Amino acid sequence: MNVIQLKRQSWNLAIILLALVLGIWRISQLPQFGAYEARTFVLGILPIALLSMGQAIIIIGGGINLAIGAEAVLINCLSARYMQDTTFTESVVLAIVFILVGMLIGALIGWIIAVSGIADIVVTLATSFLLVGVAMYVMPQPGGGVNQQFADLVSGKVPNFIPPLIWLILPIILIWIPLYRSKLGISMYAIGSSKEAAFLSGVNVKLTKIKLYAIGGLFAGLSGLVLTGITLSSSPFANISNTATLNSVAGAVLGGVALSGGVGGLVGPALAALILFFIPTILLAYGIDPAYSQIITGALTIFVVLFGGLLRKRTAGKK
Amino acid sequence: MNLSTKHVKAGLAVATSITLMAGAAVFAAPAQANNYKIGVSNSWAGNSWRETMVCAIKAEATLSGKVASVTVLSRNTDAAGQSADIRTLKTQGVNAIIVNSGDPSANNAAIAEAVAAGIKVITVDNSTTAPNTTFVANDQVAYGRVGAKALIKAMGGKGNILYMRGASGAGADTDRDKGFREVVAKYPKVKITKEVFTNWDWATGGTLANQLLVPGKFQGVWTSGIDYNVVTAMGKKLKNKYIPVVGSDNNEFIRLSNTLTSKGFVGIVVPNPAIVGGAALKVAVDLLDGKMVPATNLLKPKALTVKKNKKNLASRYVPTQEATFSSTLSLPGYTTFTPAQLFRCKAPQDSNDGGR
Repeated sequence: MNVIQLKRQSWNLAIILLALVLGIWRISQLPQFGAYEARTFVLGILPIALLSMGQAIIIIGGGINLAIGAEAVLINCLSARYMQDTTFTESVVLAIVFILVGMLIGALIGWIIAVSGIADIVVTLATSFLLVGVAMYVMPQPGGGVNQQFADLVSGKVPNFIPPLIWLILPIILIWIPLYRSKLGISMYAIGSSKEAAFLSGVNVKLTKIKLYAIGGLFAGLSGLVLTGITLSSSPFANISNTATLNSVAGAVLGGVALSGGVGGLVGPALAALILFFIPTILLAYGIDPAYSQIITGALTIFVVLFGGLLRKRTAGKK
Repeated sequence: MNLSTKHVKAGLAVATSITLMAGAAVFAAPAQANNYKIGVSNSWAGNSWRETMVCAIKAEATLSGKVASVTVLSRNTDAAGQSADIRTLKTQGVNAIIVNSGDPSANNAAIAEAVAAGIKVITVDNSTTAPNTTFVANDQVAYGRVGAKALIKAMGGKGNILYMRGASGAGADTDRDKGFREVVAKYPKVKITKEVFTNWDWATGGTLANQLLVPGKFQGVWTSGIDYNVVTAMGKKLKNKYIPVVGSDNNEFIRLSNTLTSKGFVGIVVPNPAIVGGAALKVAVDLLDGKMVPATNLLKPKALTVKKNKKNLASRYVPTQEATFSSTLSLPGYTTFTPAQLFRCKAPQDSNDGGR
């Protein structure tokens, strides 16, 4: 157990180190670094970091949610449409409602998977098309808006970088740590490691799955709302949701979450989002086409999956 | 002796003043010129039109003699990514930012931060709702209008039109549609019998053309720039009985319009110049020089046909460039580069000779 704990921490340490190296590299490219530049970083990663965290919870529980980007796009469109020309209080109330909507959509997807027994990948892929369609219905063209005070609450007034940083850290403290310590958290790791073993030990596999998808939906809702707060608008396009979904998987995997389930945490994916943000911007500063950064990100992800898998096999073998 | 002293003195005075003037010229030149830093944020990389737009910015910046550097952040990205790029340009201390925005309003917050810092923001090609910016683009409503007029004229004032639009919801598509329908509504004998979206994708446009073109069904085709493969499809599908097509200034479409005239084809070229980027650069420099520039600067497109504009179209075809190259090589009043300078695509900081 201790060996595994240590290995898990060493993974986080490696991620922190990589993020630090890339961060220093990036900062050295800029003529100055202050609050404004820090804010640019945090705003750049916040939506995708939240999405990676939501994806991580679902992957740890042995699933994968290919509709998570579409959930975020839908909440982005809903909030930008209905929060336009509202007062601050109305915006906050609506924000809470939309986060609950996100949870509900997540729970619904989880319920379909649990009841039908169809693979996660199939159900979520199908729902992703459905959700983007609904988003297109809500917001046929890019646009919308949001209360400015609410936007400041999310992204901070220039050059204040503390509010977005809080929105990055708060979900870890308020959602992840209680979840990790709860019975649901233990069930999550259990069904992710082995569904059958968990079932035989008395874990309610179906209910756990639904709850995990609901929490994933909550993160997707947060991500969509944050996007509205940052961009003051919405876009109902499938390519945005597809890219977001793929990045969320890459973020989770880079962050030390095993695709086979049962391993990982949320701090890694949050830091991984930072790495995914730095790679293209560093290349861009050198005038290199950032399309090449896809190669680096892809190679890094494959390496992590291979290396992580080998590492786990060894640990399992030694036991 | 006196005379010679006088001469020497006069000579000295002349020499001194020449030296001073030369010195002043030497010192004055760099002080005035080569000091603007321009940033470019482009939301779609790897697209021929957008690449030419960026090259036009670089080439015109080099020739202006007033720009020290052009920093281009060009990549396929979403609004969060492009906003980050605009913020990065602000951090890098540019004086003006030229933005081709992937979204009409999602970059407004980042643009507003740049404007608040005293940076001139010029939006090019795609309009945004951001206040205090200057817009430079092709007049897309007029684009739809002049194409429709020329097409109906070529059709003899009657018949059915195959209407191949761009992407639903895109600003340029909406504007072109407005201008197009405005004209068509005036001719009761002209009908749009089929309306499709190509999403500005060559494969989609070609497939649609192959499916829809049937002899006798249509008397004219309007395309939103996915043009030359529609003409190619007519060779097979209509057995070389070409019907008039409205296209853009794509290199291959211009070539086909020139060469197929003998077979009775009427190609109507409505330019959508990618070198509008050069115009945006000129506007940026003018703004930085403190000149007054209108908030909206639109290029007025004209419909070109071999019948009326034979020389113009013949000179537009550039054999060395690819089929989808946007073949408008200069915008009088805006751009000063030669085609060679445009194709060279060098920013002022790219080489020792200042890119010239």
